[in-house]
Amino acid sequence: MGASANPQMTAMPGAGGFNQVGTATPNGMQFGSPTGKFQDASAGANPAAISAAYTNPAGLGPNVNNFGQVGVTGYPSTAGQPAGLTGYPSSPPQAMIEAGASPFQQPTGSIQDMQPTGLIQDNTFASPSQQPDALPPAGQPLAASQQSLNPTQQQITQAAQSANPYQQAAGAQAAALGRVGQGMNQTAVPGMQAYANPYENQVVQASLRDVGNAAQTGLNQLDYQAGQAGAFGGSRHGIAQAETMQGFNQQALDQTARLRAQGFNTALGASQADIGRQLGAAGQMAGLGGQSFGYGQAIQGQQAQQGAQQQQMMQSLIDAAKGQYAGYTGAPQQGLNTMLGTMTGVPGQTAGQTSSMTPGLFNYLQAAASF
Amino acid sequence: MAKGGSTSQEANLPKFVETGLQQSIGMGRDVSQMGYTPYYGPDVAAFSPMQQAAFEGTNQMAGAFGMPTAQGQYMPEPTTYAGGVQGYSSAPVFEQAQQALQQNAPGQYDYLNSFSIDPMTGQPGSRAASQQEVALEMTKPSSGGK
Repeated sequence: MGASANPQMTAMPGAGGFNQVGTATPNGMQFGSPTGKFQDASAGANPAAISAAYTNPAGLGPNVNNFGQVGVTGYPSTAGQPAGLTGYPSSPPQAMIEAGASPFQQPTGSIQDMQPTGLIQDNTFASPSQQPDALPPAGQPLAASQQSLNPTQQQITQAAQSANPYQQAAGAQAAALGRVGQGMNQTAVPGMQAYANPYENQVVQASLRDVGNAAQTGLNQLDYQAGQAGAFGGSRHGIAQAETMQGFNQQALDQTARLRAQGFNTALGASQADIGRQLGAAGQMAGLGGQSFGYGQAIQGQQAQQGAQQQQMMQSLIDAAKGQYAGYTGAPQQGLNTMLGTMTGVPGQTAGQTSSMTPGLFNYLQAAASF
Repeated sequence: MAKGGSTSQEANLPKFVETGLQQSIGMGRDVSQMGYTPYYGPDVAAFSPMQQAAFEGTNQMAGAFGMPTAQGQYMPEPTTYAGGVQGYSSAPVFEQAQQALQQNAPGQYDYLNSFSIDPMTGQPGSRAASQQEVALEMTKPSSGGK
């Protein structure tokens, strides 16, 4: 991105004083070519401008903080995140602004009024709505929008509030499955914004001011030495100034990169820890769902078992009644059987027989002979 | 035996035995034509409320996981009998089977019923024991002996 491509840069007074001859970095930064020279001669003659330029080397105007682009492509500047800064306590930045030596701090209005610029919108977190977890105000509870639960949290809450253990189990299982499934392709990048240091820009700029002040002091000393040597304004003086500025320029770059990288790594680590914690919670949720399912089954088993005992008792009553009914209807047959059994046991039942004899002629003759 | 006399022998029951025997025969005749006495009381106990709760739990378990649930009531409404006993009787099914037999095999149905009394009037059927024809061919005069 060339300097002319940024209208705000060209519109800023003194911005051109820091444009250097050099190739643009992939992220659009044009600041700090080690071998470049200042195109504006006034840079060398006006140390104050140099200091100011260091405060905002990119020369950006209000409402735009392009330091977010320095060194870390794709990592946004917190100042360009209206959602993340909504409701943010304005006292620390405001104090810095009031004390601020830099004219590039937000001159009017509050941070809430800031709108993302095209540069910011090119970032991964361009849209505030794409940021799942905006940074809450320090020391304050979550904003109402942040307190609204995401679908997974709603599932979990509903499952926990339900009195039915099977619904708890199903809800927990679904929530765990969803979170684990989401985590399979999830990176820590989307969550990093929540952990971006909202004061990072101020820290960087303060650091750059320090470098700028040091540069100014160094140049003053150089000017003094050049004056003492009668070489003020000469070519050697110019070369010495350029060499001095190059060193401070590199120092500013290193300082900025270090601070940005530190912020990036911190946010990345925190976001990764968040993912790990959430996945762990999802696993725990699945386990709790299994427990709820077990509770439901145990209760249901008890109900079935005790209910079967009750049914069996009633069945026994019915069977007893049926037995009595069978005895009632079978009583005549039983009586008959009893009677027949009694008859069978009577002795001499079949011995009751009588014999009779009618004598014949032979019997009479036999009887006479016996006499 | 033509040259001598003859000897006859006949069996006689004691009187009390004969009385009992005749009563038993008569009783057996009457019992035999009594017919089948259906049972109209409960046969199977109904499910207890706790069992029904367990059934509902199974439904809820299936529903919670998006699985099909049993819709409607499969078991008929149980009948409440004396003492709060809730159960099901086989009598309606038995009567339906009787009616089906009467409709499909009326001859066999009538023949079957003719062996017993009319359950409504108590009159013996045409083939009941008391209605059987009797031809006494082995009876001899009580004076006995030929």
